Amino acid sequence: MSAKYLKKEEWFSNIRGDILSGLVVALALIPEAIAFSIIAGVDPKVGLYASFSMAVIIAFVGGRPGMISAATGAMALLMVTLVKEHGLEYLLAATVLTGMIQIVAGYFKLGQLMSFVPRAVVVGFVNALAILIFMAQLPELTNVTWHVYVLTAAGLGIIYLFPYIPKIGSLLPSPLVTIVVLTLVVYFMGIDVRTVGDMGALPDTLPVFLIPDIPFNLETLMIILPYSVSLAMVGLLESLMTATIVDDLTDTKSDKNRECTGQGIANIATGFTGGMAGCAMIGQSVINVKSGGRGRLSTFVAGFFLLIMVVFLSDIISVIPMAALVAVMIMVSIGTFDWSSIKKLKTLPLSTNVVMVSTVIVVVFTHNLALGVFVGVLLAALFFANKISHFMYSESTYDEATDTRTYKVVGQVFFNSADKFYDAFDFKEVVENIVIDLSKAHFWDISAVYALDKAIIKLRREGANVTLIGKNEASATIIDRFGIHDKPEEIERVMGGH
Amino acid sequence: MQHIGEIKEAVFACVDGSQFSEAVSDYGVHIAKQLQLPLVLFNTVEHPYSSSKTDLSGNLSLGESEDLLGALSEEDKARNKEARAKGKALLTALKEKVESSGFHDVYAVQRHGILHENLKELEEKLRVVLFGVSGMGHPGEESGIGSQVETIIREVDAPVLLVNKAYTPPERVMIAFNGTSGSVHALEEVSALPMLSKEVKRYIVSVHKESAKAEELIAQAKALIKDPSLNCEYIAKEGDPFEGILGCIEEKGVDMLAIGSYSHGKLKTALFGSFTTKLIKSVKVPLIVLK
Repeated sequence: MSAKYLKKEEWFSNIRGDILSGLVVALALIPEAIAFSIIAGVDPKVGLYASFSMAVIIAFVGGRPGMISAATGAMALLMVTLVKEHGLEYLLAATVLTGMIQIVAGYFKLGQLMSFVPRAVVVGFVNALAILIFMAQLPELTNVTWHVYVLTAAGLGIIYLFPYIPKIGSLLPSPLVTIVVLTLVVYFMGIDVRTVGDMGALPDTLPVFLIPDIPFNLETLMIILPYSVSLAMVGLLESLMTATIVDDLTDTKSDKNRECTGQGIANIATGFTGGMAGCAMIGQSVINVKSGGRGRLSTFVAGFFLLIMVVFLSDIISVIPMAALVAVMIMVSIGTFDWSSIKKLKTLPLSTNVVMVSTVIVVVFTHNLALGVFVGVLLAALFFANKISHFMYSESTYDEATDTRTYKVVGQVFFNSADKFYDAFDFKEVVENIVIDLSKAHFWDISAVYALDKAIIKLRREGANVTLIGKNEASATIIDRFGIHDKPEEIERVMGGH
Repeated sequence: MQHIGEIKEAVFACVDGSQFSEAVSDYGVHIAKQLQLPLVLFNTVEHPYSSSKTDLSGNLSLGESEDLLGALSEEDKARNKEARAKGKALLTALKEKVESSGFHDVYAVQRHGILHENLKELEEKLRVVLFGVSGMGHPGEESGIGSQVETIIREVDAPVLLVNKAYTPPERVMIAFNGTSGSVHALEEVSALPMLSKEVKRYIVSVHKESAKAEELIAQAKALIKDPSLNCEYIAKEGDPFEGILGCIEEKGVDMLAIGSYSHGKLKTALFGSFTTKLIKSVKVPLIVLK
């Protein structure tokens, strides 16, 4: 157990890079944690404590070295109603329960379920997340004075142009420069705009262990359970997606089931230290890799310095204008959005685009990423079934000498193609003998068997003699357990023309 | 370059171009001949956990993730091409040398990834694994132990031969026996099973603080040796096991040592130090390590 959590090369192979990138990420996490707390409707300290605790704990127990976990927008959006109707204490309890569900998911190796989520849904998820993060900034940009627009525009200008300055451009994180410059401008020019301090309490102490102050009964459980299930699902989805992104970027492998359990442990700890549920962050993880972070140390440093800075600099943080945070969050939103997916809309098949766009639309309207993914996966499965059902046809020949009609069925027969299969028989034809040759067909489910039985009964009712060829071979594909069919020669036997 | 899938069971000599690579290959030939198994010269192209470039601008632009993927791929490509060419040259040279020595059942295999992860994946094919005690990444490191040695011994379930000197045909082998399962395996591996030839002189040594206990262990060891024709000498010693084993190696001119490994958890080992690691660091002859 200890060996698993203390792999030396995952911690100390890249010390310099990890510490520097950890610092960059810590700075970038502060505005995000504050912004996401505001989305969830809690004090900024709830998000900041969460980001500290998630990052530090996932550094040890996560399955993907170098990935950053913290309070996230995807999770914050799911909490809004719970916080509004029941308050912070219920959120903390829901966070703990989320962690428990995630641990169970890790134990049952549910990380593998990710293989049911098609690429189009992943892209839709990411794009929807980007849109939601952007939309969450809109309240800060409506009914405000012109100062806010100027400050936000200036902030975006600094973020994108500062890196082009030779030398210091790649040494100082431009989001940090933005925050410092805008804060100084607002502070010294005395511009009256909203600041972080106006949004609620900031952390003034190190986090302490506390048990959520809620009645421990079934009623409470029923309140938090639906939220926790959504949170657990979205948290795991985003974490596993991010892990894949980091895997690809760094050309290394990660342990997906350990990541599930790790997210669970981190969320339980976070709930008990007064933080909101979190998960892995796509944007921050990319920033971490870009800044040279590879190992677990980078995640740890990010969380640790975040807390140090926040606790000791809370007075300074409280005067940061919201406009600066909005600029940073717009950057995160733009960076998260998968722009190539827009270009690819023209070349990809319509069904793929429908899946992607539907995922986005459902999320944007419900603010629930879990629901979006569910709709996306469902649509993708239906499109897939529809596609496969085209791979079936039935041809018939008539032999006059014996008065025999032979139906030869080729291809995949299952719930979606069963009607097509049934309709291929000419029930009106008066014929003495009927042969149904299934030796080139595959029956995938009971719908197919039922359609066949129905057809046979109807044909016999009309007075024909019905003979079946190859029914057993065709039904070999119905079985649910594929243990004996995973050998190449077995698959060849079942799928090849018997 | 052969594909690893064609090999069922073999002696794996892991070579990385460090000072002992040639000795690893030579010992590999010796053991492969004894076991009548193929020898695999095994080289890994490791992908480092570290990063070479750092950009601390901390912002996310349009399509950042894709741009970054492109940039990192290019960087890796150049580095991996170089590492591959180097490994290939090494494998070719060693293979030629092995073949010219008259042993032809030899394969050269190159894989991507970290050595211990690769070995773990190929576990069932491993009859014996050989590697040099000081890996490439750690030429001047004080302990002289390659960073992966402990991980490989702990995680890979196969007999390991650590090579720390130029090849000489083993003639006097010492088995340090302390009754743990690892040392029982070590005893079996070098006696009952033909990893070493019959003529090799075998010293079975037990060192314990109490002499009665040492005698008891020797009796236990004697019972485990099935073949009476082996040239065995049993030594029971009173004293500190570490000093006792080192002393015995000096005294008898032993040229190979077999031990059982890491009987404690990693955390305990990290706190108190490990007997195995201590031995690996101090012993000047190749070590056979068994779990």
